[in-house]
Amino acid sequence: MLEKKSYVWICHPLIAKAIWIAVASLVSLPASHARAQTSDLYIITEAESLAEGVKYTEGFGVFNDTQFPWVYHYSMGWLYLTEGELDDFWIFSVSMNTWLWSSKERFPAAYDAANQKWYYLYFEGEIAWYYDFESDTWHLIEGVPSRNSSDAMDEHFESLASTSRFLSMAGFGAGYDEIVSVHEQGIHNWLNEQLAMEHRSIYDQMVETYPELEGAVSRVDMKVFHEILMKAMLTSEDSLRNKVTLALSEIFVVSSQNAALRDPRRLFRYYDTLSENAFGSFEELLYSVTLSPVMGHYLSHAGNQAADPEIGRFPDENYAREVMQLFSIGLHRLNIDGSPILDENGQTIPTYTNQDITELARVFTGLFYDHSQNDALNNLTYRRLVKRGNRNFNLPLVMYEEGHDSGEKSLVNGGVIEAGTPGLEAVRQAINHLATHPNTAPFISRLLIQRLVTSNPSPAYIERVARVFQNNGRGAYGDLAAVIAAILTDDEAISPVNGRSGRMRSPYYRVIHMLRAFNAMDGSARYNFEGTGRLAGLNQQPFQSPTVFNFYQSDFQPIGAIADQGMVAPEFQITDSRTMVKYMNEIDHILFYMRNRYEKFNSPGFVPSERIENPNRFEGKRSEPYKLDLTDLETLSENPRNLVNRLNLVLVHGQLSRNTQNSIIRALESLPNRDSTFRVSFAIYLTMISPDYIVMQ
Amino acid sequence: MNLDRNKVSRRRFLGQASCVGLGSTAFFSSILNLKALGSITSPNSLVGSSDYKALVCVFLRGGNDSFNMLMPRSDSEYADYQTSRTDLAIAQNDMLPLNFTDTDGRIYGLHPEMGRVQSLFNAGEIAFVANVGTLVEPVSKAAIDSVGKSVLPRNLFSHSDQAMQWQTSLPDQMSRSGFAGRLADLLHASKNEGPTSMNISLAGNNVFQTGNKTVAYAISRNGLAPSIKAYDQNYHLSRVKTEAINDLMEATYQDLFRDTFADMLEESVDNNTAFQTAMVEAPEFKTDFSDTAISEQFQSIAKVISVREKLGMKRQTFFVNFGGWDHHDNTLSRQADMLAVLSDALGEFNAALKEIGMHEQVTTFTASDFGRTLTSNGRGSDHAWGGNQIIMGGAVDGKRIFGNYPSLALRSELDIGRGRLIPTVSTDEYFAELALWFGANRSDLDVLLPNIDRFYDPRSGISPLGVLS
Repeated sequence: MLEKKSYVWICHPLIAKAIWIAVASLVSLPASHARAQTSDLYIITEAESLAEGVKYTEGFGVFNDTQFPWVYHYSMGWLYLTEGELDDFWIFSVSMNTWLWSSKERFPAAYDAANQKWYYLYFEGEIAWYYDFESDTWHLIEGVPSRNSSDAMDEHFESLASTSRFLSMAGFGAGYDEIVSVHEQGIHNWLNEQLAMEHRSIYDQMVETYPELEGAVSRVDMKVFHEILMKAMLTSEDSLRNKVTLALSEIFVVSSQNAALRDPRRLFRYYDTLSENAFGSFEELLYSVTLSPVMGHYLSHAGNQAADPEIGRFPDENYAREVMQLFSIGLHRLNIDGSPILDENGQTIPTYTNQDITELARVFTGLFYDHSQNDALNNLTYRRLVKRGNRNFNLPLVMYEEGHDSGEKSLVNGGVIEAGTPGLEAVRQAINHLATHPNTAPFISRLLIQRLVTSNPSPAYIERVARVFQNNGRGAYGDLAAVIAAILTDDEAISPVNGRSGRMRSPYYRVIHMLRAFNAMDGSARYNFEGTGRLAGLNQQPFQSPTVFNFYQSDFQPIGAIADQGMVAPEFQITDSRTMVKYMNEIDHILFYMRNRYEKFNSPGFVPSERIENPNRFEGKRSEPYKLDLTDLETLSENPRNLVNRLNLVLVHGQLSRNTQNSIIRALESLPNRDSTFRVSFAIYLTMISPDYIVMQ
Repeated sequence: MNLDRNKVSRRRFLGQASCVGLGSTAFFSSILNLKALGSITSPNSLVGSSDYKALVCVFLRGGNDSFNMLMPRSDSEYADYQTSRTDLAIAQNDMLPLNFTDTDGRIYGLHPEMGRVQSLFNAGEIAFVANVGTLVEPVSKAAIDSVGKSVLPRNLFSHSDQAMQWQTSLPDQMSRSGFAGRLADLLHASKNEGPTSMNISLAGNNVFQTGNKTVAYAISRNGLAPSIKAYDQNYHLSRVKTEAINDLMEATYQDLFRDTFADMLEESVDNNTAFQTAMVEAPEFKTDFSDTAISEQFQSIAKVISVREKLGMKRQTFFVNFGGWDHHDNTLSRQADMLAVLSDALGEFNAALKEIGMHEQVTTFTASDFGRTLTSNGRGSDHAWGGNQIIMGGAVDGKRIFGNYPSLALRSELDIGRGRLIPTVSTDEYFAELALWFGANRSDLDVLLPNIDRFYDPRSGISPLGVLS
C-alpha cells in the first residue's frame, strides 16, 4: 500500500527545464539491452530529444525512454507507462509503489486507483512532490538517487559494499570485520594471497579431529562430513580455494546419493582431488578426476572391461560420455566467446558422435581400484578382481593392462591413440586431447563464471576469460589460478550491468553466508552443528546432487520474462513453491529456534539427554545447537536505520532497495516489545528473505 | 476469492507470462469492473465429481532397463533375448507369466519382483506399451545410415537431453514447454476454477509440466504445501511479519531476477493457503502404503484427488520422479529391488483410488529417459533408445501389450548397435492417446504435440494406440 510520509513539504512551483537537463546529464542509464518499443502515447510521440536517450515532453518533464515501457523520469524516478483506451494512460511509480491514472489534459493531476485518491504532481529538478487533495498535504516522492548528498560517508559505504560483494563471489561472504580488513588490504592483494596459499587436505583435517576414524571399519556417519565441511567454510583462511572447490564439485559431480559414497572419508578424498588441483592445470584436474576412485565408482569406469564379442560384452560408456558432455567439451561446438558455432542451416554442430563415445569407452578399459598393497588380492586377474568388486577409495585407480583394450582408438576431432599404447598413457592422451579441445576453454570458463559471478556473462566476458584459459600470459594453457583471477577481476564482475548481471544466490550458500557473516558458534566451538542434515531440504547440500547433472543445469530458463529475454537462471531450477518456503523457514529456524536451543543447552546445570550410539556407525561427537554472534548488531539496533544499513552492507552489499529498507524499518518499529536480540534476528530474517538479497547483482 | 489490486497490478506489468492475451487497458478495466461488482462467482459452482480426470506420470529417471521388465517368454523369442542379454538375462522359469498372447501367438513374462503388477495386468487394469521412445519422424536403420543425424533426436543417448525430450516430446528442438504444460495451457482455464496450477509436482520444477503460461505447483512428498512460519496468523508479531513479507513480495525491483522471484513467491503463498485449506479434508485411506518414497507420493496424490472439489479442479496432472535407474553396473540386483518398490507402489495407488471411487478417472503411466542396451558391459547395460512402459487405471484396456513388441535379436532391423532399438511407438503417439482421453480435442493435438502428424492423423477417427477407452 501507499506509504504516507510523515513530513510535509511546502512546494515551490518552479519548473525549470534547464535544471532538468543539467541533472539528466549526470544520470547515465545502461543502453546495452535497450529494446525501446514504440508507442502512440503523446509523452513519447511529442517528445523532444535533448541528448542520446534523454527526452523532454511539455507538461511531463525530462525522461529517458531507452527501456520503454520503463521510463526513467528525472524527477519521479522509475515509471512504467501503459497506454489507455482513449487519450489516457497508466503510470506505475516505483518510488510511490502505486499505479496512477491520468491523461494529457489531466496531467500533472493523477488518480491513485488503489487508494482512490487524486494527487497533483510537482517537479523541481530531481525532486518531486505530490499533493493529496483529500488530506490537503504535500509529500516528497522518495527514491530518486540524490547526487548532491553523496558525501564521503556514502562513498566509504559504497567502497565497503563493493568489497563485501567481492567476498561473496570469491568466498562464502564475510562479516563486517573481515570486510573492513580486506577492504584495507585491497581485493587484489587479498586475491593474490589466497591464490598463493598452500593446499590443506580436508581429509587430514578430518583425521586430526577424529584420529580413530581412519582405521574404523564401520560406516562413518555423514554428520562428520557436515561438521568438517562447515568448519572449513566458516573458519578456514583459504576461503577462495574452498569456494572454487565447491564450484568444481558442481561441474565434476559425484554424489552421496550413491550409497557407497555416503561416507565422509570417500567424499573428502574426492574433495581433496578437486581442491589440490583447483589452482593448478585443468588437464591435471581432469586427469585426477578421471583416476579418482570415487569418480570411478560413481560413473562406473572402475572395472570397465574390454569388449568380448563372443560373450556379447561391450565397454561401459558411462564415463566416456559424461567426461565429454559435462567435464570438458560439451555437446555443441563453441566459439571462443561461448556462443554456438552454427552450420549453414543455422543449426548447432555436435562435438561428438555416438561412435566417438564407443571409441573413448575403450580408452577407459582396464582401470580398477589399487589393490597392490593387498596380499589377498594382488595376484588376481583383472576379470576376477572386477568380479569380486573389492574397492579402495584411498588411492587413485590403476591400470590393469590385461583388462585394457590396446587396439587403435580414434578420438573426437580426428585424434588417434596408436595401437599398443600402454593403458595409462592412453588415458593421459585422451584427457590431454579433451582438455585442449577448442571447446574446453569457453565451456569451462562459462560454467565457472556462472558459479562465481553471474548467470548470464556477456560473450565478451566469456571470451576474455577463455583467452586466459588458453594462455595465462606466460604461455601456459589451462592455468586455473589465472582463470579464476580473470573471472573475479573482470570489469563485468566488479561493476555489474544493471538488470543483466543477476544471479540467484543458491539456497545452501545463503545459509552459509549468514552463519559466516555473524560467526555462528556452538558451545564447544567444534562446528558440529545440530540439524545440518536439515539443510539438505534446500536441495543443494554439497555432494548430494540427485544426478551427475548437478542440482540445476547451466542453461535452465524459468518461463516468463527471464526466458523471454533469452536469459538463463540455473538456480531457479530448484526454486519452486515448496523450496522457497522451506528456505524462509530454515532461516527462521536458525535465528529463533536454534538460538533458544543454544541458550538452554549452555545454561548452567543443563544435562543433555543420554545419547544412543549406533554401534554400526562412527558418529563423531554429539552435535550441538549454535547461535549467531549478534553483539555488534544489538548495539546498532537502537536506531533501526543503522541496523538496516549494516545488514545492507554485510549481507546485501549495498543493494537493498530503498523500498525494502523502509519495509524492514517499518516492521522493526511496529514489533511488539521484544529484546534487542529478537529485533536484530527479525531484521536479519527479513533481509535474508528479501528478493534484493536472494538475487545478487 | 479476494482480488488485491496491488498484487494483480504488479503481476500485470511484470508478467507477460501470467496474463497472455489481455490488452493492458482491457485488463485494468476488468479489474476495476470486478471491484465495482464487489464479488466474484464462487468457485465450486461448476465443479462436480462426474467430470474429473487426472494423469499421473511416474518418471523413472536414469533409464529403466525395461527389456528386463517386460520380456518375451515364447521359446524362440526367449532364445534371442538370452543370446543378446547374456549375463543380464533373467531365467525363463523365473518370469511371472502374463495372461496375454499376441496375434502371432507369442507369450510374455514380467520381472519376478513385480507380482502386484502381474495381478493387475491379469485383472485387466494394467497394459504395457512396447518399445516407446523419442522420435523425430518414423525412421529405419537404412535411413539413419544414409541421412544421418538429421532424422535422429538431438543428443540421443544423453540422459539430460533424452529425459528432457521425453517430457517435451519435441526431440528435434530445444523446447521449454512439456506435454502436460501445454495440456494445462489448453485446458486449465476452461476446466478448473481453483487457484492452484492444473499441474502438481511432487518433484519440484520439471519440464513435463511447464507450459507457455503454466508452471507446476510443487508440493512436498508427504502432500503438504509448506507454509511460512507465523505467517497470516491472528497475533501481533505475526501481523507485523505478514505485512513485511507482503511488502517484499509486492514491491518491484527493476531487476528481472528479483521481480521473477518476488512474483513466484507471491503466487506460492496464495496457492499454499488454498491448497492447505483443502487438504485438511482429505480422508485417511484404509489402503496400506509401503514405507517408500514412491508409495508416500502416491498416497499424497490420492489425497489431493480426494479433495479435488475443494480445490476447484476438474483436470489435474501429477508428476512423480523415481530416480536411480542408471544401472551401468549391478543391474540385476539393483533393478530387482527398485521394480519391487515400483510394483507395490502402483498396486497401493490403484487400491486407494478404488477406495475413493476414482479408479476410472485416473490414468497412471510410466516414462523414462530411454531403454538400455540389450548387450551387457559385463556388469550392466548402457544408454539406448526405445523401451517399454506401463499404463494403469480403470479406463485402460488392460491385459494387453500395445505396439509391436520388438525382436530382441541383435542386428535386427531395429538394432542400431549393441541392441539399441529404434522405437516403434513415438512419445507423440503415447501422449496423444493420453491427451484425447484427458479431454483434448483432436484439433488441439497439433498444438499439444507439434510433431504428431508425422506419426498419426488426428482426423483419422481412430485412436492413436487404442489403450484408453
